[in-house]
Amino acid sequence: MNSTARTPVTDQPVVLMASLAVLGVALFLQQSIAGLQYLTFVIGVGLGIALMHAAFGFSGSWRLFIRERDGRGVRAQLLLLALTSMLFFPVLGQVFPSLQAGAALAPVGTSVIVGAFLFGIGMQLGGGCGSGTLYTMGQGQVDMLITLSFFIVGATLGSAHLHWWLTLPGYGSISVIEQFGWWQALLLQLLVLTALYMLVRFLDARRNAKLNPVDWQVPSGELSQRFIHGQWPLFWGVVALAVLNFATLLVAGHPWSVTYAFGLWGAKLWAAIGGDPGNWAYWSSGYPAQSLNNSVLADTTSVMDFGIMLGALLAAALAGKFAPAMKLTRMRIFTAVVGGLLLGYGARLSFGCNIGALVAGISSGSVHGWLWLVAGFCGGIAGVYLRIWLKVDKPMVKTHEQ
Amino acid sequence: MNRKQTRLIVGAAISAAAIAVAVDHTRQRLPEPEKQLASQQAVIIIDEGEELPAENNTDCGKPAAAGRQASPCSL
Repeated sequence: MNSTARTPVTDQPVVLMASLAVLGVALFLQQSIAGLQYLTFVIGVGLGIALMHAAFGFSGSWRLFIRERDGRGVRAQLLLLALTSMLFFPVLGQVFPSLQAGAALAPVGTSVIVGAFLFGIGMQLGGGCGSGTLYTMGQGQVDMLITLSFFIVGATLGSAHLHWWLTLPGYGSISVIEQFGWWQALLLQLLVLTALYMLVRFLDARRNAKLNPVDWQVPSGELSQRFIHGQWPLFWGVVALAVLNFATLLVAGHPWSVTYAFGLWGAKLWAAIGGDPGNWAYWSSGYPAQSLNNSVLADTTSVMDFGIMLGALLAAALAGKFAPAMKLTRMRIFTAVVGGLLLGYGARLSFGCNIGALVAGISSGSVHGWLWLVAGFCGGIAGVYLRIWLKVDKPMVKTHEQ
Repeated sequence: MNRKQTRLIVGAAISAAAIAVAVDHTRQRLPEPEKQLASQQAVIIIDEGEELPAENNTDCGKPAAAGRQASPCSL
């Protein structure tokens, strides 16, 4: 492959400030909090860099597939699920007894279906998913600052209402690892993921003359430059996210999650201005109550989220993409607000976002993750049509396939 | 919105967030390491046949039952 070397345009002052911030926070966590928070923060920084440099998103990929059947991003997500499952299942199946970790199990029920559907709509309106909102916020996109703010509001509201949603019909958690054994469940899951991959590929090839690959190569001579300054091939992002998610499982004892922290931040802010979330069912006992009354830096999900944003900020500065100029229209503000609320509320109801419920759930062998995928994607379809109705996007072009 | 304005807004937001974290950290206590680690490991585990948290009006904050890992609903 011939080199098409481009001169990296780094935002040097921001790179310096971001690097100092990362170092400072890491040292503070190590010295004043605990090694666990320090490690999860560092992992978070790595996740932020990977998300930013690989531009690994769910919302845009789903929209591209729904509108144009371009399945490159969706296929990358399926590869991520497969790779993460291969790493998680043996550990969660107790193949290595010394490695203790918990699966992302959650009840299969109405709240997951409704929550994931709302989240799917929110992804399209808000302009990002859980991880996408964090890394684009870290990149300095002002509209995503609005989305994140209302994501926090929505998650807090969701935590106030979750106890009612849990009274609606549902089952307990269902783990395929417990049902079938770890390697049998892994084999079954990989078969399903392969079938989905082939389906996406088929639909893409049927509509488009050229299939966009999940690329992994870079032009010769650009390896180190691309690694530091981006743009990463998408497959590098897949591998990085899978490995760092696995690191999270081993270090923190649970898979990577994102949106619990948003509800926590919102509840703390509500308490700070006179509210009493401690009396809400959700925050009144167990870990939620504990985290509400402890320092936010003691919560590993919060610390990882801070790491993701700082990592994305650093990566954006290295790529010369920090704080881009943008036109903030009234419609964009409206969709960011509504989208953020739906994202937060939906995530709380469905026990997580695309990361905490979809990736973590499926990779943990939890059936609720698959339910989330189906309901979330349906919500994504609804969201794409809403964008057209609101004239944010042009109508889809009808083809002979339709 | 030009790039300078964007950077100003983002810088202000980051600064405000850092101040909020600092205020929260200085106002709240730190958990005991063993207690915090034990309660945060794993997430919801509601086995078949068991009551959903809401049926006990304790939701995701339900304390861990004996023999199970904690259920922090922390996804």
